[in-house]
Amino acid sequence: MAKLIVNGDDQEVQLPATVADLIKQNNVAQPDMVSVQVNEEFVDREDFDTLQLNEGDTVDFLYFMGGGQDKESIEYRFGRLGVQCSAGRSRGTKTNGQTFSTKEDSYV
Amino acid sequence: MATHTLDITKEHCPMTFVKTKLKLAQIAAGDTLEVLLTEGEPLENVPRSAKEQGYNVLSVEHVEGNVHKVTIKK
Amino acid sequence: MFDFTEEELNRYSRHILLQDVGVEGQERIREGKVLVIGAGGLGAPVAMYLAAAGVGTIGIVDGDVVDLSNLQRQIIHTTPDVDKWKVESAKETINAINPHVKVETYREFLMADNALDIVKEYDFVVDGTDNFPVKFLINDACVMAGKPFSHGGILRFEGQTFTHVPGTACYRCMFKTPPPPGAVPTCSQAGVLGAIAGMLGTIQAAETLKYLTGVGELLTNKLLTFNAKTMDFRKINVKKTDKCPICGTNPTVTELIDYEQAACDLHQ
Repeated sequence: MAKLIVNGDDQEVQLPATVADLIKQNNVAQPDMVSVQVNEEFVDREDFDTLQLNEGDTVDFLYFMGGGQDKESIEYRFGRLGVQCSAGRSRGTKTNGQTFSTKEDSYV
Repeated sequence: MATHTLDITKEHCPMTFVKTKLKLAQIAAGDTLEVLLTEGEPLENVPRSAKEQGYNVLSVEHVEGNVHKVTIKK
Repeated sequence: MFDFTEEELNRYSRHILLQDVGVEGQERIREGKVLVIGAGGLGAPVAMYLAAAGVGTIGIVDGDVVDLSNLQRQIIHTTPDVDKWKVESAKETINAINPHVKVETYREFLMADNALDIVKEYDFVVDGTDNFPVKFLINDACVMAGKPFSHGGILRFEGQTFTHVPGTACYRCMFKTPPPPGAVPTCSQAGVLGAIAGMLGTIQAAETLKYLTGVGELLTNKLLTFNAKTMDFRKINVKKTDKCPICGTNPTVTELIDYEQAACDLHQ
């Protein structure tokens, strides 16, 4: 058993082990979405199955965080506000009354 | 090297040190600031805070009554 | 120089007393222009603390109206504000806290065709948004425009944030592309403890003020994560990567993208 540091905590890991193995062993939520650093270097997703871990490695799992809304609430929000999407997108207003819709507009 | 005066005898803490800092920010490096303040909190706080924050407190003298003068060099 | 009224000296006295801030720092805060994108869970505490601090100009971007369910955490809005435009409600609160602050409202959602124009006027940008497409848009726009920004995200009892200044790790260094819609739980599905928004948002406000005053070390090349259940805070070191799709040596992202397109098209 080798000692690794996973998310800041010591963890005993049976070697050989790949990044993918460690993800499974740690019951990582959203394993398809997690970003992984080994020794503070990001590992490409395609290398998860092949990169071998070693004694003393530090591994960090980084998770997406920050969705507040889901598909339903997006639809509800856009619907309620009458915002059209794609080509027919509606525009907003800056406090001085100027509307802006393209890069050429000035906000000064 | 000019000498400036700041009268904070009518101020209450912490405005005493706030105004001292403001004046110190406004004068030139090498200039001196003479701060007139009253006994009690201002006398206790201003010289000590000035020293703690790295200002060069040259002297603290009694003027008259409950008024004291703190001389700080920028 | 350092032309403060008696009222301002009193108002900002607790800043001025700080050796690290003083009148010089307060002046920089007053001259600062900060854009807060999202007047919701994170945007609320950010905008309120920046207003309290005396940031000279605060821009707020939000195309939404206040909903009752927002009040559990979006403390810039109060019960009478339900159904009001969020930017208007936010502006009222900001000016009630501090009438010296100039508030510029953008009653609009940040999109690929307005992002660069909106961010360009500001010194610092705060991501207070609630969806991944716009988080990537903010990252991309700020990287392209050379603007520093604070990224933030919360869920359930956790939060994470980092600060980007040009030359340091960006969001895509850490997460190459947004997750597919529905792949990651959202606050609407999983919930969030209201106070978590305050915890993370005030960290973002502090980072903003640190940027403006030059005090301390920013959360650059770091990802700060916390779990409020245990109150464990972790700073993960992150490097800017050459392989980053936008700030790397061979960028593949060369224009702004509206990932939200797919979700919008469902509304007919």
